[in-house]
Amino acid sequence: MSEATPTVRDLLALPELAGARLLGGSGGLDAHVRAVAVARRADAAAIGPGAAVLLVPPEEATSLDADIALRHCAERGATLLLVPARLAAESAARIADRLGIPAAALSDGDPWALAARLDAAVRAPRLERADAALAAARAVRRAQVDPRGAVEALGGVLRMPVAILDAEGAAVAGAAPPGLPAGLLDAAPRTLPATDGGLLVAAPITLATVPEAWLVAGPAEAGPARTVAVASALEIAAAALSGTFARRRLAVERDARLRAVLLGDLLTLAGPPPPALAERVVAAGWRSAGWHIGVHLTAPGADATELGAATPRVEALLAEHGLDAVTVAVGGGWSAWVSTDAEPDTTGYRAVVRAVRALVQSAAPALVLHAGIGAPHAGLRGIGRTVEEARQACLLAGAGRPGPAVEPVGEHDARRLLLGSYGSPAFRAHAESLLAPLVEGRDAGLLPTLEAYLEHESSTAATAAALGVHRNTVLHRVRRAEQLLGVSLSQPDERLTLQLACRVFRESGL
Amino acid sequence: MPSSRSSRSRELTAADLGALERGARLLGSGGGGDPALFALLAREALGGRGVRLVDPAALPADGLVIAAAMLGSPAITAELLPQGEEFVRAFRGLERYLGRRAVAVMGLEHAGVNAFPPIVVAAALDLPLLDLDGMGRAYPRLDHTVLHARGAPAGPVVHAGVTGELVVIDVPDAVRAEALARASLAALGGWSGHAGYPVTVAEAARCALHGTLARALALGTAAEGARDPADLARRTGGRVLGRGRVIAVERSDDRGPRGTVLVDPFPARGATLRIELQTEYLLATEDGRVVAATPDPIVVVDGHTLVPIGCEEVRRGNDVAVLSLPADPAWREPAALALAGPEAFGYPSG
Repeated sequence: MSEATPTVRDLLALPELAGARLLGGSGGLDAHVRAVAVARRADAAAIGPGAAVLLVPPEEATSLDADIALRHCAERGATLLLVPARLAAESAARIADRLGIPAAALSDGDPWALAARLDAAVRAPRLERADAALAAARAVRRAQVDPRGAVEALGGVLRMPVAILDAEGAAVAGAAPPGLPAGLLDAAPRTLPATDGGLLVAAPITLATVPEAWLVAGPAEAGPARTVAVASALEIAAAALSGTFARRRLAVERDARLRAVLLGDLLTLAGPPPPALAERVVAAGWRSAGWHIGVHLTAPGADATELGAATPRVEALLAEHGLDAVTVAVGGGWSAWVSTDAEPDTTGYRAVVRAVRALVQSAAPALVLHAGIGAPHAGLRGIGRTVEEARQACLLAGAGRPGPAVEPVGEHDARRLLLGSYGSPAFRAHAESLLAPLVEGRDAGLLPTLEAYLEHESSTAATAAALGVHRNTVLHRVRRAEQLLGVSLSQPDERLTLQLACRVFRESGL
Repeated sequence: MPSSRSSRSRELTAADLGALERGARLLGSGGGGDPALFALLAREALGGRGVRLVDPAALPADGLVIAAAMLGSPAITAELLPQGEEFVRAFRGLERYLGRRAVAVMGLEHAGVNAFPPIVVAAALDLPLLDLDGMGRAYPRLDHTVLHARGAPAGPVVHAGVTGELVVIDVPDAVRAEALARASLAALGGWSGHAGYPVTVAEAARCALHGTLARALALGTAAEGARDPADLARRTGGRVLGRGRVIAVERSDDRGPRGTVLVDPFPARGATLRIELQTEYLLATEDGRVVAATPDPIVVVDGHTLVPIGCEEVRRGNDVAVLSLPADPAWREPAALALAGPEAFGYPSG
């Protein structure tokens, strides 16, 4: 396996040589190392071709020994000289440069242990590679649920920065490496020099057919053996991460699909919902009770892939703008709705409209959205109705406008305008006291008749028809109510006040 | 190179001292001290006369010969100035201790300052000067001699301090004599006149290096007027190791003075020349390959004036040429190499 024969660069990247200082001879860093030799002084016999020579000199040796050892290395085809730091001098640096043989000064340490370690690295590069791959697999498995944990663990194992980048080179986990060269994230696996020096190694994280993310290690100094070891480790880690991402994606997609189908069923619901549908709504975690305001968003100009990718962004935008909405990705956009216990008044509805407008503004220009907002509707059927209104409003919003747009329906609904005032506690108390004579009186039919009369434009005939009583009965009851309440229904103000009081009384369950 | 054996006898006069000073400087190999002051001492001692340079064959074989030298730090002689009489006093002291008169003076180290004390003593005592010495170049110790390598006894030795005292060290072995002499040097003021290696004419002829004074003279004569480093090398029988700028001088006092000089080639490009020094330049390497080594003298000269630069003077930024001169062939004998080869100075053999 010639490609795995380590070079001088590989050896110098070993952790055991982390403290070594390259004196010179950088022109020879890519020469292959095939053996490790330990030499004492002018012990030329120990030096052979392709040898990394570790000089272990006697105490009286000087920097001259390093010079001479370098010459021996050159004559015998050795490729690296390691000398104790006390023998490192300018002269050796110059000779190393001239002869193209890297010379490095060692920090203190046991030279024999180092020789043994170097020997292992030279003789068994495949073992190195297997070790790195195994360690990478373990690191990713330990941190499988968390890509950030995985890149940290991998970085520790490979002794270089590791990051997960998206197809555009932006960091998904870890920090994007500096000097990312063009073409690194093209074919897999790939090793390229970083534009700022050092090597970058990339392995694709592929869920389907094209790489959707990349596991990138570096930049770091690495010869072919280390590069192969790093690439192997990255491939294994990338495969493990692909599994993690795929499982997540699958869960999300299955969920999204179910939600879209459920919403479709709600939109086409005519009549009372069958129990099976209600069950599915509960299983989806949606609330059917209360009032719902639908919001429909489209991203004109985005294709299906972009729409899919934008879903998390849209969800985040809704949350950012205080819209605690259920969101369903549907063909061409997103349907969402917010729910309240009580029927929203004008202020509440306007707050939703303002929030959607702010959302659409803040999403631009990265994401151009059109939004439609439905009127509030109650109950399970109300979800379908308000979402349908929102979709139609969205069509209007988008008509002839290229930029962001929001179209609410029902903002001017008089009911909401009135609700805003007669829904207040003060008015409720007033209504209660105003209607008390009718409520506390013996004739239980007076209040419903009065309310129906007022709702039917003061028409005794219409009221009689609605209540199924005789017209004269209506007239009599209205007169009696007027007397008990001490008001005249011929007065517009008093008539309006009474009508509102009746509504509040009914809706608040007084 | 002229051999003293061919000329049975000749006069050495003050006219020779300039050339001798130049040659002694080259053979100092970066050490041995600055000979200028000692050349003046010799000039004064000669006083217009000359000394006879003789061949051993011209003397009785069993006659006593004593080596004259300065021992200690040449740098200190600039402060505690030598009078010349120290060498004579040491010489006479050893004669007195041995109870014999010497028939001739010889050298210990015909290089640096020590090319001159034998002349001073010969002139003062009107003795013939044997053109023999122990080193033929500069080395730091009494035992760094071919005399010692070939078995000549270094002692007894006598040291005469500037304070007027005499120290007699009665030990034949050169290593012990060196150790005891060093121990007394500090008390004597850092340097002393030295008389040692008392041997017979026959022993001297057998154990010493021949013609080293004549060689120093010849080197100095040849070097005069050299145009450039290559010319200097051609004239002196040496070779140029490199030419360039000193980019680093590292010194330490770990196990004695040690240092490394790096010379970056200039204007030519190429390998950095590395020179290892102690009290002398001892080893030169290029890309970790030994290109010159002790016992061959290594000379660092100013790239333009061609004046030798000593180990203590060389500085970062100096524009230099580095040469190596051939050592006397006697230094190639195994026993001699063991004394003064690179490994004797702690350097790997390469």
